[in-house]
Amino acid sequence: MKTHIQFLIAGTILLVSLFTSCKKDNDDNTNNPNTEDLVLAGQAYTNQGSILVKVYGEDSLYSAYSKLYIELRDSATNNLINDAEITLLPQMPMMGHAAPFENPASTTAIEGLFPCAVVFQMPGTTGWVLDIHVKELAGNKEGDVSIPVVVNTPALVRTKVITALNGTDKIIISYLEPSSPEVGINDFEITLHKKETMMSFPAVENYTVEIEPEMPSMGHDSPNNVNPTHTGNGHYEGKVNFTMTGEWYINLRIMNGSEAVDTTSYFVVTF
Amino acid sequence: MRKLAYKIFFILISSQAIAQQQDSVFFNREGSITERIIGLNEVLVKPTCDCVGECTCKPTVKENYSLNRFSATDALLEKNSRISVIKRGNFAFEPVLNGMASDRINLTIDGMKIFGACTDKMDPITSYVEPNNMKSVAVQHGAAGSMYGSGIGGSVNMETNGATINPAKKFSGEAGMGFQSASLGANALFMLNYSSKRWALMTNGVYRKFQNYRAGGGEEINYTQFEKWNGSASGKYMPTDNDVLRFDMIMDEGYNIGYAALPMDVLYAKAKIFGLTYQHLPCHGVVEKYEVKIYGNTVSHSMDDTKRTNVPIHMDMPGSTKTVGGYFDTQLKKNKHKVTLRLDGYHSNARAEMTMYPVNEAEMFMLTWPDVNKMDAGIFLQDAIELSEKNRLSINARLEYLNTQVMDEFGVQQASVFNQDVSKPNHRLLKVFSASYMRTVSKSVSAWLTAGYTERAPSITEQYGFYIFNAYDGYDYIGNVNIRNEKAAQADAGIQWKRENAEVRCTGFYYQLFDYILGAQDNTMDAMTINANGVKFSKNIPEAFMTGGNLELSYLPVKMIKLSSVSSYTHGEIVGGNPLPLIAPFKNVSSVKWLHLRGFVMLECESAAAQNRINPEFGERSTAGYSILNVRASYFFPLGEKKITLNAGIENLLDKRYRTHLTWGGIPQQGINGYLNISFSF
Repeated sequence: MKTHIQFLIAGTILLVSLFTSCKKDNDDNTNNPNTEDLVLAGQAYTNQGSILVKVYGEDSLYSAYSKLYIELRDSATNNLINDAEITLLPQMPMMGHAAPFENPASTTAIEGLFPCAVVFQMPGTTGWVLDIHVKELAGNKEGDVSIPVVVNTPALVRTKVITALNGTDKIIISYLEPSSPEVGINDFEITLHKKETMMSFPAVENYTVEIEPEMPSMGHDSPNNVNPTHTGNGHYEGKVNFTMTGEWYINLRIMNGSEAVDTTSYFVVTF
Repeated sequence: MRKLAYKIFFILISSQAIAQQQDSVFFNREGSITERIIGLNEVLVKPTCDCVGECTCKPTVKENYSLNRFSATDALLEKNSRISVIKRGNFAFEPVLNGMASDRINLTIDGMKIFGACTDKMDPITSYVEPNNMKSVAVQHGAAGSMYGSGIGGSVNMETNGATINPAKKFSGEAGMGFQSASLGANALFMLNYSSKRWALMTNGVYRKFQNYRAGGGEEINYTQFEKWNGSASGKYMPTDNDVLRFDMIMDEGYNIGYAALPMDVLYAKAKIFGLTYQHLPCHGVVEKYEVKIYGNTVSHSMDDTKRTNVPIHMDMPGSTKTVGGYFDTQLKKNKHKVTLRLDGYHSNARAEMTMYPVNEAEMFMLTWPDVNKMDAGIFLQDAIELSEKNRLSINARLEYLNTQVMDEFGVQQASVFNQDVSKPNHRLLKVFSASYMRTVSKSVSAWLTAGYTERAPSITEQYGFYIFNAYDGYDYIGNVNIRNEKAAQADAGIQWKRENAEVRCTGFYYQLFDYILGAQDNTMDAMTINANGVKFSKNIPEAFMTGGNLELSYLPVKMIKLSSVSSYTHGEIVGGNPLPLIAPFKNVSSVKWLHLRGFVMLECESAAAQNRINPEFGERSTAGYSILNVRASYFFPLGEKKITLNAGIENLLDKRYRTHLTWGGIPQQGINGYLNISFSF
């Protein structure tokens, strides 16, 4: 009996020390951001300033609103850079157009990474380039990279370029949520961007959006949905209800004041 | 012992003079004080029963069963003038007692709670027990039926045969076959009982296979076919003269069952029912009897639309219920009081799914019953008081606690779509109280009056149902977790005049219903089912009432001729509104029966008035009146102790095309139908 207790105590001490030591490792090692669940989209050294720029996506890149995470390292010391100003310019040089994007909201990295986003409005195995300008704030080093990325076609259309009903405006509608839909209440989120020129895609902030989920094979909708409203940066958030699993269309009705912008677009959700 | 036995048992006079046997043999043969001897020959049962109010221990089963050995349970129940049936096809009719269907009444088999597994009520539990395994049906009205649970309309308890201990006859049994023409139906049944001195084993079975039936005029009604078998086994052991241990098992499986009135048929409907009972009957003292029972059962059910044409989306809808429960019963007698106490409880789970399979698209899935657990515990107390030789009073009370909880998170999320929170358990307390008074006015006249208050909890569909399509009104039904209990104040009265050759019995009932649960249309909602009219949510209607009565007459002008007539009428109305839906019109069944020692010949006329009191909100349509004629005959050939019995008859002799008001989908009933049954019993 006594030996059992001894073993138990010894085991417990061992376990506790193992866990605490592991934790310590993590705390100390700020040099390694957690990119376990991310997929490396591309990396390059800046033309000046000796900075390694690594771009991660949450998955392979798709023609959709894509969240990106940028990791910066001093190429000499391999140390992580946590304070920097990053400016994106995603573009397809051959076709002479850019894409909507969101620069990192802060110059300070979050757990070693700078989150930002790009709406790749079309797929391309070649052609897409992420131009990134980096300004390291501590050492005041600056440089540019040009990282080619592969943009795949998603299983379901997640971004659309439409011509508004006025016949001139080009609007880019991108689907963000629900990314893992469930029966019941889901968060709903889209972004709207306007193609001002080939190279300028500002966020649209003053439209109103109505949604109506529908099961195409059944013809029914679902009750108690909340129409999305603008929450900043061209993001519109609301609630969508699914009464069952299966294929749903989320029909959109986009208005600019009293003028209808689009009444026929929809996103398909299957689960 | 002898004195007690006389007190306890019913007096039995049989053509084979069983009555001359010893009391202990009585007891052996019976095995239970709640049972009556069922001789295989015609047995005249004359109960000197203790019922206060309308007698519930009439041998309804045997009497009606003898008309047609292959009747189904629902058809037998319908012979009770206060029971009608809702038909959706040619199988598993849903019983309606005092104008109230299965959600409002207690349906039990040997006191066991069993719940149908179909969200569309295609499988009332009456379809899982067969008449050849049934001894009696106790029908109690309103609050007076609260021994079997809390309900509004009353209770229907079907008591099964069980094994018979009869040392004088080691083997007894029966085998039979029957055919009927309208649906080219074939039936077969058997029963075998083996008895030792202290124990007995019994097994029986039924097989039925019916094609589509032909309505009056000859039209074939598609999707009215079915196939089923039912088997049961029972064992009884009496270690002493005062103890009985009984085991029962019933298995029932139906396949390919057509439901002409619904958009889908049934692939299978299966039930497994187990019960274990112990009874003790002390010879002296205050305690007359006590009984302990434990039981368990499972029901599973799946629908099938693969045989239908023009199905927009193929779907299946499997459902199942699992129930375990038990009760403890005791009867005490002291002076003029006879007290019955019952403690009962059960745990039940119900889950039903729906998966739709669109072409080239993802499957659609939802839970129509979101995996609901029910925990229930009740206490029932009855005091039957013999005020004097002519006056009896009975007081019943029941208190029941019910806890329901959704077990599947998916169901909780589904309900959130309608802003309903079903994540927490739902508690309910149900109270039932009634008093009955009976007076023997003279040698031939007796009268009774029952007054009571009763409550029922909502059904799983009414509380948690999720887009359950009702083919009657074409709406998708959605439950309401916070719906209030339905309540009723109720009175039931009757008077009976009885002579040796004539009998008149008249009863009336009235239910004032509060928080009556009904579906209410919500125009803001879109129906799920393709082509459905809309969505209805369960709602409490403040007040409704149901009233009605029946008149039964029988007269034997000469010894061999019996004239009888049974009339019934029900009227239901939402106070300040429409009639309640699905109320049967005035109905009369009259017959002339020529009796013979070895059988009978009978001419029967069944008529119903038109029903124009309808509720259009429920898609109800008027039904024309009708009259049909049936001829039935029975004869047996004795072969010593054994006998061969022939039953034959022609139903709907004039091949009239008609439908009963409670038939869904405007489907006409069976046309001319000849049947012939032959059975051998030993």
